[in-house]
Formats: sequence, C-alpha cells, structure tokens
Amino acid sequence: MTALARTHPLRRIPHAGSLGMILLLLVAGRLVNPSFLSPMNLWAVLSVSALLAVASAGQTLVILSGNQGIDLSVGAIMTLTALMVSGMAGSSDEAVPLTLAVVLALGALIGLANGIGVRFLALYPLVVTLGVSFVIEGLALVYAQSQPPQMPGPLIESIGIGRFFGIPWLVVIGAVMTVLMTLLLRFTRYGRQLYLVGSNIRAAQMAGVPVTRVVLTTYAASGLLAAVAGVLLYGYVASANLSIGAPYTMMTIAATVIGGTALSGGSGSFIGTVLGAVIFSLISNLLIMLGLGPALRYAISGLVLIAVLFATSRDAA
Amino acid sequence: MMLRQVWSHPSFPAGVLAVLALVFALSVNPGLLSTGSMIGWSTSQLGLWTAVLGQTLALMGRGIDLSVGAGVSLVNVAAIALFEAGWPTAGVIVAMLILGLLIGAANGALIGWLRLNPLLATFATSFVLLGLTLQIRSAPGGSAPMAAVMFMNGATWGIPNAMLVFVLVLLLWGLVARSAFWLRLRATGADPVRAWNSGLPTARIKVMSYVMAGFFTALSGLFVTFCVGAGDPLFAQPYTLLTIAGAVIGGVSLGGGTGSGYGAVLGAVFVGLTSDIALGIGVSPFWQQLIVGCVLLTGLAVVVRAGRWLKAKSDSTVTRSAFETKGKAA
Repeated sequence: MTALARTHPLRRIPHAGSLGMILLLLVAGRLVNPSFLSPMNLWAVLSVSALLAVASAGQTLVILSGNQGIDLSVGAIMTLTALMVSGMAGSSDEAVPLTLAVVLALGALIGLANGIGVRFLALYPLVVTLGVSFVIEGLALVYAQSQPPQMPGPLIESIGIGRFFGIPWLVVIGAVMTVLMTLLLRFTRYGRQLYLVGSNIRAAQMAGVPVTRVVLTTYAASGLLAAVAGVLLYGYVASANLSIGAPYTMMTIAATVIGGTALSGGSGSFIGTVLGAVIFSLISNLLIMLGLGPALRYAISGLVLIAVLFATSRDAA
Repeated sequence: MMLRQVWSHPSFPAGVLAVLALVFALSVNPGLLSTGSMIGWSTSQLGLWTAVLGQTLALMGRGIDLSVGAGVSLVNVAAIALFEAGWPTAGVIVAMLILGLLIGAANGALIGWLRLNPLLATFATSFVLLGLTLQIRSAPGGSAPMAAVMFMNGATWGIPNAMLVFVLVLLLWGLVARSAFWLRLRATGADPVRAWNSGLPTARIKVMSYVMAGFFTALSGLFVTFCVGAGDPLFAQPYTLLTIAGAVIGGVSLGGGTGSGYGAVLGAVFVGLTSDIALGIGVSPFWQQLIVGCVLLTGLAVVVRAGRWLKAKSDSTVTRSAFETKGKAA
C-alpha cells in the first residue's frame, strides 16, 4: 500500500477515503480525550470492530450478490444464537462443541430459507429477510421463555474478552476472517461467480454460472456468519437478552456501505467492509467518550449513515 | 368481463385471505362481532390500518418507508410528552400532524431531491426517529386526556368509534385516490423515466408522496396514543414490517405503480386478524410472534405467487388497462 502511495497520486490508494476518515476520527478522539489513543481503548475499539466485521461478512456477500440483495435477519439470528448458546452450553465448556454445531447449522438453515424465498419464490430480499427476522425473533422469544439466559462458560468468555499473546481473541478472529473472506472473494470459483451474479444476473446465467446455487450459498453463508457473530457477541457481552443482536442489522449494512460495497451489487471488497466497521466503531466510541446516552447514539448513527449514503451511493436517476 | 376484472384485481387475493381469516376467526371466537369485542380489536388495529395507507403512498412511487414504525412511535411519545406539558388536545393534534409532515418531508427530501436509495434512507431515518423517541421516553408510561381515550374506546349505536374514525380516514384516502396527484404518482412509480419524459416533475412527486405518507404516520401515531392512552417507545415498532407485509399482501407492488390503498387495508386487516386468531385459540403470547410471522410469510408467498399467476392469466386485460392509465397520466 505504501509503495502504491509513492508511485500513484493520493486518490489511487485503495480505500483512501476510509483510511483518511479513520485518521480524522483518531485525531478527533485524541482532541476529545487524551486517553482515546491509549492501547487499552484502541484494543477495545478494534475488538468491537472485529465483532462488527464478522457480523458484516455475510451482509457483504449478500449485498455483493446484487438484485436488491440485503439481509435484514442478521440481528435476529445473532440474538437467537446468543440465547441458544447461553441456554444450551450453560456455564460449563463440555457442551460447547455440540452447541456450536447446532447454532451454526441453524444459522445456515435460516439463511438457506432466506435464499429459497429470494430465489424460488422470487420475493424481494428485503421482504423475505424482514419476514424471516420477525419469525426468528418470535422463536428467540419462545426459546428465552423456556431457557432463561445464563452466564457464559470459560471458553466462550475467553473468546469474547480473552487475549492471545496480548491481542484480544476477537481481533485475531477478525483478522483470520478478513484473510479468509478476501481469499474466498478473490481466488475461488464461488467468489468470481458471486461478482458476476451481482453485476448482471442474466449475463451470468447465459454464461453458465449456476445462479441458483450461488444465491442459495450466499444467503446460507450469511446466516452462518451471523450465527458465528452471535456466538462472539455473547462471549463479548457475557450475557444474552432478547434485543442483544437487533442493532447489528443496521450496523452491518452501514459498515458494508461505508466500506464501499455498491448496493446495486457486483462491486466491493471485504477489506472495505472491515474498514467500514472500524469507522463505525470509532464513531460510536467517540460518542460514548462525549458522554452521549444510547438514545442519542442511535440518532447520531442514523445521521452518520445518511451522510455516508449521500457521499457514496446516490441513485443515478 | 366483469368477473375477470374482479379476480384479476391486484387486491383480490387479499380480499379472499381477509374473508377466510374473518370466517376462521369467527368460528374460533363467535363473540368477535359483539360490540365489546369489536371495540377491542378495532382499537388495537386502527393505528396499523392507518399506517398501511402511508406505506402504500411510499410504495406506489417505487419507494418504501422503513421508518413507519419509528415515526408512529415518535408521534406517540411526543404527543404524550406535550399532554404532560399541559397542552390542549387540539393543540397536540395540530402539532403532531405537523411533526408527521416534517418526518415525511425529511424522508422525501432525502429520496426525491438528494436521490438516496429509499430503502437505506428511510432505514437511516428510522434510527434517528428511534433515538429521538427513546430520548423523549425510554419506558412505557404517561397518559392521554381521559375524554379522548374514552371516546376512542367507546361505541356509537353499537359500532365502535374507532371504526367510525377509520371510515373518515378511508374517505380522506378516497380524496387522495381520486386526485390527479395519485395518477401522477402511479405513473412515476410504474416507470420513472417515461413519467419524467412525459413532463412529470418526478422528484417533486416523490417528495410529496412521502410528505403525505408522513401525514398518515402522524394520524396513526395519534390513534395509537388515544386508543392505548399512554406513550410506549416500542409499541409501534413492528408496524414497519406489518405495513409492508399488509400492503404487499393487499396487492401493492414493491416495484411501484400498481395496487390500491383499500387492498392494502384489506391486507393489514388480514395481518391483524392473524394475531387475534392466535390469541383466540389460546396460543401463549410468547408464541404469538412466531406464529404470526410464519402465517405472514406464507401469506406473502401465496399472494405474490397467486397474483403473478392471475396476472399472467389475464395479461391482455392488464396490458389494456395499463395503456389507458398511461394515456390519462400523459
């Protein structure tokens, strides 16, 4: 990246806008509170960003798949997963592997249901995923009623707040996810097919891309990744409740769009989404440091999203 | 000919579903048509029935309004806050209608003038509105003036006042649906480029559609306030999903340009009846959302598939009427 900076004009640096924004936010944070740049706070911001980035991975795939693709069930799946891990694994580590297998499979199944609604019933992704999220929230309500949430066991908790050679596990997981997602999008057959489907579904079909398989895989992957994020969120917060995942639906879309993925599909990268997640987390962190309550933070993140939309994705017509 | 016009109407599947749901609801709970019971379900549904008309306006111009739930909630808590500050009822009603128009104008300006994606723009405004709502009141509470609440929960000659009020809302909607603006909005939603080419100010039409949607949002918020009698920041949040589901089941196309407000109301009635049936057959409230959600998804799938099938069956009729509509719009 630095080599590019020397040989090309500033605007040719990949993600120059996002990186500039991050720099600006760091400077602003330092002015607001000197401890903003302390290692402790920076690791905290990076942990939250990593969590958001993992949650946004599936959203990025779905938005890349185009054709009005959007997944509004991310937050509901995260809530359900957190509640189920809490209810099934309890405070010990013995049941964790089985629990993880169950919740991840369930997440993928919910995603697959979204995909079936989108592809076979030809309903709008917005309507399908909104409807499915309503059902999943209902499911979470029923589940929470039968299994009161508990504190997480040592394993889940250490993933959420523990450190690996001084680096929070969440950051490690986020970094691994970034590498894997980038490899997936850049170098696999699925990745290339996804961009094709997102740019022009008819052309992709004509060119022999198995469109149905790509769409179903994408929505299933989104559900699976949302479930992974739900487990991490549970470990990070160390408790589960019925509204724990709800804000993530909006935040994943914001991170993806801030990261430069086009809502029309077929263009964008996961690194962009990660930077978008860092920007969003820095803004929230800054607002908390300014002493704003959750209500005003909601309002301000909405305004930030409007500003970002204005800067990045105005419709042509 | 007449028969074909009936069953190829976009609202036809919703009408069938609503009638089926009503018959089923009556067989489960025969007391549903008693005055007391009618007051119960009409007051709990009045806000939704009104809000779906706002959603219809947004959808008709190829937009969408994901801020309906948050907007209704904001009007609800703001109205209660003003009542607590000692405002008279008439003053609060006027202030809330203005608030609704402002919310609509904000959405409309973002979508029509700044050309933001309607889905994301209203999604973003919903968070601004939610934040303001929670700032005003973070937990249910407060109270509306007793006289207004008593009126809304009362009945005249055995008919619930809430239903009579809704008849007035439908008359208001009749004015909207008969206006030249409605025709221009449908033309804009059906094909924005052609509408613009034929001289329609499409941006201004979109802005106006959201302003009018904001008016219905405000009405809905006021009805919720007077029917429930308290301020609740989260009560109306599901309206976003329920209005979209109701409108789509009622035959309003997400692609813009087709459907009617009456169909959307029928769809919303079906949506509302589902939860009443769930409660009527003794389902625990904890299961209600799950069951209603499943019924909604099934209803959506059935209606959209059935609608496409019926449309394909009577394609010639539809094409002809589309030509007629375009002729009038131009």
